[in-house]
Amino acid sequence: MSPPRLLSLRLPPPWSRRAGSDAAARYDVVVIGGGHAGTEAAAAAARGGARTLLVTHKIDTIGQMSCNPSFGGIGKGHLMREVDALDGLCARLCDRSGVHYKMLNRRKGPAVWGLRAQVDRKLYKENMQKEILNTPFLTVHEGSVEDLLLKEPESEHPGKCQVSGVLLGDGSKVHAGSVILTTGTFLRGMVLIGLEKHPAGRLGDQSSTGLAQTLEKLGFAVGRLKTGTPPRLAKDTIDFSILARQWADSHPVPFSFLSETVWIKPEDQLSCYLTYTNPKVEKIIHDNLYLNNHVKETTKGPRYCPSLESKVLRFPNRIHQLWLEPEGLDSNIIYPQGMSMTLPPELQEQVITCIQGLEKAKMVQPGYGVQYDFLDPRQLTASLESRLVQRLFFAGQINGTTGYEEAAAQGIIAGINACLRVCGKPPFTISRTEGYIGVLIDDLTTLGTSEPYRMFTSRVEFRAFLRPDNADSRLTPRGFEETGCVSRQRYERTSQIKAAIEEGVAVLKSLQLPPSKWSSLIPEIVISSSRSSPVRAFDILQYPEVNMELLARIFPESLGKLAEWRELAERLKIEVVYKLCTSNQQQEMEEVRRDEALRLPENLDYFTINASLSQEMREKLDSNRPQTIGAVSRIPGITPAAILNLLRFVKTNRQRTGGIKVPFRTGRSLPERNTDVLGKSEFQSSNLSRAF
Amino acid sequence: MRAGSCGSLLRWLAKRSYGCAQQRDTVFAVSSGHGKCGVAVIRTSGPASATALRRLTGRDELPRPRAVALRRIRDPGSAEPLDRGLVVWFPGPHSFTGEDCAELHVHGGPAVVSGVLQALGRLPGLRPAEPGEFTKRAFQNGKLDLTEAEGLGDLIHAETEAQRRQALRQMEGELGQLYQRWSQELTQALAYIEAFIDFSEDDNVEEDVLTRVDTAVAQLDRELRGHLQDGRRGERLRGGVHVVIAGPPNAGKSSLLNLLCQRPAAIVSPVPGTTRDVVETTLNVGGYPVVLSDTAGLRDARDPVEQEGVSRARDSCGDPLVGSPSLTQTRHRLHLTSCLDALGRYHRGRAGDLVLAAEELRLARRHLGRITGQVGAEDILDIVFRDFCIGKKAVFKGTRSTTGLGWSLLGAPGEEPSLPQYRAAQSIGVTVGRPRVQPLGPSGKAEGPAREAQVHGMYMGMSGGGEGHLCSRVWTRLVNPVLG
Repeated sequence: MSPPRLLSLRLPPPWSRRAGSDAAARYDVVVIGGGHAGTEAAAAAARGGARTLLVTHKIDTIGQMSCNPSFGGIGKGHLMREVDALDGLCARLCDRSGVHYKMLNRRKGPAVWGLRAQVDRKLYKENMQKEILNTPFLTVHEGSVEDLLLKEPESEHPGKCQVSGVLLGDGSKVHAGSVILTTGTFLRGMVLIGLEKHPAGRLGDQSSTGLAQTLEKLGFAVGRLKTGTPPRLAKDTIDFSILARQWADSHPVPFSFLSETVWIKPEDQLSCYLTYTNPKVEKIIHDNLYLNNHVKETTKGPRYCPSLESKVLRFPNRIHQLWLEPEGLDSNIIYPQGMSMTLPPELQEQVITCIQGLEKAKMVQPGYGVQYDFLDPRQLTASLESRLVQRLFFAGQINGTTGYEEAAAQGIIAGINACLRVCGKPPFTISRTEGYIGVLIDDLTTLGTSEPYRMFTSRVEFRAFLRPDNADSRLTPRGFEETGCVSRQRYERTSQIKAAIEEGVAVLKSLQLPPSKWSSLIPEIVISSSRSSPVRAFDILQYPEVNMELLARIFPESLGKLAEWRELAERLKIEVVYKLCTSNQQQEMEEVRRDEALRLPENLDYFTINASLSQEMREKLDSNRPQTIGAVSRIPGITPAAILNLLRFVKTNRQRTGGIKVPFRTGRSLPERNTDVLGKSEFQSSNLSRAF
Repeated sequence: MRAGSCGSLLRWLAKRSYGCAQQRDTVFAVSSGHGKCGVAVIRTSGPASATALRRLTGRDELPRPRAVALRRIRDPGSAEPLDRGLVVWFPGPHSFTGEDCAELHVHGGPAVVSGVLQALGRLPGLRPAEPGEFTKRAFQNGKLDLTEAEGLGDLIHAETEAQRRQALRQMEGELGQLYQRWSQELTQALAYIEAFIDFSEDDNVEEDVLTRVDTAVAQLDRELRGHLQDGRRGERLRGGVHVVIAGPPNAGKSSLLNLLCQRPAAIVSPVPGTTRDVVETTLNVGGYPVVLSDTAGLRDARDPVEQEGVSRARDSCGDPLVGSPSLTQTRHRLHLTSCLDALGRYHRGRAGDLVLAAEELRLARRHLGRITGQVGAEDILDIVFRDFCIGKKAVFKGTRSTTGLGWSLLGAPGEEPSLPQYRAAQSIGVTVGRPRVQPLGPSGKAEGPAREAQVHGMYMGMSGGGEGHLCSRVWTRLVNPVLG
């Protein structure tokens, strides 16, 4: 069955080139911003068949890795696998641009293996631009967006108005079926070095203030966050010989399900080096705090990727790791991960030169801090469309996240949904039981965030099931059938391996031997001697010492073929190891799914509904605006009683009227607040323990 | 964690669709005992409490909150005086249930009480409370956790001093606090292991956090084990020691009963088949409750009355799973045992896949949470609240033990929980809402766990022989373990 493409939109195929001023002023989807969220969003919408326009300040910055020269990691690698399962770009491009591939958490179980790579900035950017500029239905326009075009809302959806296009910097209008905002840190972005500060998105870029004002006027609640980037060092001025070297994996694992191997020969990969801070560093930072505006201010920064200054302040008298990471094959720049700082440049140089290996290092570019506005993501639905303005989607750092992978994951969901919205199809959302993307978006849209949100495996309830190895079988079929953004080739490949795994599991369950026989064949394993009934190969494969190769030697006819297919053999092993745990969790997953299916009306006015709820609960519900009963249960501080009462209310109303007729909010769609109240105490912080 | 917690609660609710619009209702019930008495207390809870109080007292102003006032109580329809009594007004949230509550202390004559109840029932928005509904509302409004609610139920039903002491401790939250502390320690351990999984490689989370997790888990393991190996004192005390005297006809079962309770509770005669019904007697032994049940002799009886008696005897012996008063305590044991099992699997799996090991800790924590109701489960709530039948009918008294606690007492003292006990508990635990009834097999004998229970304990006591000998044997095995 072929995916439901938008046939009417097929002609003429606007093979993407730079759109001139004469470009058709009507698109299905307009994407603002060409970062990691914007590129995925634009490509996904175009794959779905929507005529898409990507508006960016500079075509040359499309696909720019603005901070660290790496992709993936623990939790983030999971997100990339899922983006890839939906035919996204970043995983494939990393397989063509990496210079140092390393699987993190190797010893901790395949469910938390973190695929990670140092990526050549230049190559990645080139590859991304090639991809974007050659995507059918996708047009790129270089310029700025000054304003949104708005019109009357559709009555069947919540929202006080509807976006109908954008006003470009040159004064021309572009009409659009839906608009995706992926402007990253550009909303009132402010770069800080020492006591200096100047408005900008990233160093050397302009910040967008016109759009920020429009969003504010529309009543979007905004918060402020900060982040930072380390100084860059000249590679040839560093003495690597005295530093610990970290080699890349000798068998690099590709990010994409479609890649057989990565592009680089294992032996050609670059290395990373490890050095440490010392008391001298600490002293310089302490002595010069008065010169450091960024650190002094109270804006929330990430706890897990902190600046050198905050590490020193929070954990005094300790030594901190600094990783020296290559920026590319022919780049002379080294990115010192862990050294993000905002001291005045000359002091940054002082800090650098007192570190082992960096005594003579030359600073190519100083580190700096960025403070920026983000939009409270609780104003979005699970499809990332805003509740306030219909057909307006948000993705990436603007929603309060950090990281390329988090941005890409939101981008692909926004792109898919912007496209579905145009063709009047139901939204495509991912449940917490289906993927890390689902957890990410549910956390953001239900709880909001008080610091730049980063993906962790501990946020995920069903971690043993949502693994990097099975992202394709979890998401590809849905993506293909429901969105049309997944290619047939990928869908078929996924179906094939999915079927092969199921068959493999069945074969393994059918092969049985008495325990004594197993013990003599595989002396390494200890089988409980009390067992007299035959043991299945399926159970034997759960032993850490056993793999498919070993079993294939025992059952060459039945298992030989399966073991030869290396990917299948590895996936079978992982599948079997987690089988017991995941089948035990089925019921729980079912519960979560059912709660997620109990939808709450979008515009429920919690202050006036006739349900037994305390004022405190009403306020919490109102500021979080949960979309389902499942989401209600994850809001910290909501009591079980409040959930019961709310559910009663909803059910009663549904029974009485056949649909929920309750007071809806009109006009005033979000609590009126001071823009800077958000991002501080009012936000619910999502913490580690919540996910357990 | 939270995700699971409320999910189950909701499911529980969704199942009982009749419950949908009820939270907003105002409920009322007699909260003191039934029957003629000096004073009866009638309580209401819910938003219409204020109106009810106004209508019944015929005055627009309410008494001062939480202060006693003397009022004439009238039927709001006919204005006919019903009684004169004390009324107390408890505006929410500072009330037992957290909702607006009112209390009417009227004279305890049946006509007065029923007159007031009928008057209340005619008011709009008021309806009689379901069994346990006041406490359920208190729980739902966060006034009590589950162990406290259980403690309250026990306190109400305490018949002996020792029972009262235990129940009061539990109601005041001591048990809940212990479980909460464990839960917090487990959370801490879990946080370490999660940090190790998510951060260790490029951040400064060192390998020794795992050692700390292991130490914490081992410590918890020891504490849980100690707690579980209390010889079931708490459960026995709570439920009372249930002993069924069974055996062949005319062996002296009723004589034994009379001897033990030192009064002619059962009729004795030299004629076999004298006892036709189950005779139950509660003894208070040094503050500890013992419930003795005398049964008809097990023989192939012809007389229909006697046949019924025999079949009741079989029921008594053979169905350890019927009825459920002391189930709630078995609930603690089950979850603690499951928690302990998960901790054990953590230890065994630690060397292997860390994710699976961490999963066991998550599971262990969920089990602890279920005891206090942090992680609700429909069946738990059902059971806990079904057992609150305050002021409506006395369900607790005279029912048979279903936990199998009585049985093991006839086994060797100090023995580990027996298989039937374990099974019985297990089968209750996995049954949602209602305990499973174990039918008697075609041979007339109980099968499965029930049979094992019989074989294990029931028939040991009465195989004929001298009364004195039996008496001392039963006494040692019965009472000593409780007192010890």
